[in-house]
Amino acid sequence: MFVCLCTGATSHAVSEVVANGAKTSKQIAEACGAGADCGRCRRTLRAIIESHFQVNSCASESLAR
Amino acid sequence: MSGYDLHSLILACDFGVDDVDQMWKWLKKHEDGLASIGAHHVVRYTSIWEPRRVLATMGNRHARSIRDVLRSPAIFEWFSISGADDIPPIFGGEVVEKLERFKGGGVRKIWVYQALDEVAARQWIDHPDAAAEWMSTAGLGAYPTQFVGRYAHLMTVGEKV
Repeated sequence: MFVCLCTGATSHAVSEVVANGAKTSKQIAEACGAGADCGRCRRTLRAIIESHFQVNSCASESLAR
Repeated sequence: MSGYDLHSLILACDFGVDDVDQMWKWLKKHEDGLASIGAHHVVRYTSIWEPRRVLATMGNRHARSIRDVLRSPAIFEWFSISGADDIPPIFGGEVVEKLERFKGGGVRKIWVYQALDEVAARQWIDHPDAAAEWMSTAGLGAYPTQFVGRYAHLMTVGEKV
């Protein structure tokens, strides 16, 4: 999925940036440019961040059981 | 619907629209702009649950640069006229397969689109039981929720008589 039309950044590229530690849309923009221009994709960027931590938190809970 | 051959470049996106009729009128009025970015068909489906939610697919003649198409003013204006301040994620891919194996179950058509930038997991097609697991991740991150709707309109672009 293309998430940032201005830069052509994909969800795959953004997810990698998030996996590497980005926690805000600003940090994503700094790392890969997504969301740095018109900013109309920032809601999606935040959704990707939330989904990453949601999935990781579920995985941690499963491991703890 | 008709018009999408195998390996056609497809853009697809579902999003909320303030006024569906106004959006469609705008699209017709700006047909030249769509033609200039290589569009040959635009198909609209309307959600059966949310009247203002649509799924739009756009077939393109050439994959010259999908990024050029995505950042063209016509695409941004399309979202603006639709009332979408936030631009949703857009699928960009090509038609790789048209299946008829589920006709017995009442499914008329299955078209498989493969993303240009990512290898799509299509294991569920051969193992339908896995579809439940695949669907459980819909709506997370960049991925939209499942869209259930009806075919509404087909617009052929750039074929004025």
